[in-house]
Amino acid sequence: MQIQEHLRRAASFESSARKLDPVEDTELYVVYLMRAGTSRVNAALHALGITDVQASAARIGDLNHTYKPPLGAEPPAEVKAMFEPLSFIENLRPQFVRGPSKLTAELVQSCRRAHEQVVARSAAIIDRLKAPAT
Amino acid sequence: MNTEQHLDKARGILAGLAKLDPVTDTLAIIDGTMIAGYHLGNGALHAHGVTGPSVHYNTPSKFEVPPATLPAAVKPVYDVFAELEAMRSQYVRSPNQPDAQSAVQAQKLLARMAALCGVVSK
Repeated sequence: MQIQEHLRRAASFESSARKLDPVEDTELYVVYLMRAGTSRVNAALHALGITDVQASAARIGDLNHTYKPPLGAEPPAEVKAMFEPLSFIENLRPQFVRGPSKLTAELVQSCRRAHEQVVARSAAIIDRLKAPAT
Repeated sequence: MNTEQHLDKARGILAGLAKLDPVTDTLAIIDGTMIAGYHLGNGALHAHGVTGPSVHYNTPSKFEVPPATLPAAVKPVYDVFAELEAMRSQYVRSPNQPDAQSAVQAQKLLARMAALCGVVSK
């Protein structure tokens, strides 16, 4: 998927998440932030040339999660820095999406912070790579 | 999670999805129906003794039970869940662009699945 399409989808999931109550609608809220974050990370990975806009026999395409499909090689520090907060959101799923619990107010804040980190760290990569060389 | 816990989760997710608009929240609706479907599908499996409350399948494609062997009351639930998964693959995990009608179709499939499980929105 092209970078701009990933960013458009991220914005769409973020807009939908804003219409929900993060506690009452825990399950959808967590999944939508995860989808938005994954889209932003995919855009940054394409910009870095680590993944391709379309998967092939030789190259990985879009990731569904930070761990799937595996990148194969040790990712650079700036990629790990995007993965870390996205993993935090992904790891909420067993207990809060598929499991019985609802987010607490404190966890909502942690979730929002993690997503903001994904947004900022992925945007830094994309903005740097699209800036003209000086 | 036991059957009642799954169905309670599904009721809550149905209520959350009702806050969204098929025109502006197309992707979110298609994706969200799978989350509700997860709880309805696993609740049905537990209710009919196919799986115990500690065994869960995330998606129909990951079911380890051959669909043809499912109890008659569960097979239609499985079939609708599989349709929801196909929609997610088609639109959420690919560059294909869904339109509002796609989101409405996902809502209809979820409503059918909920009815099969005797669930109404909160």
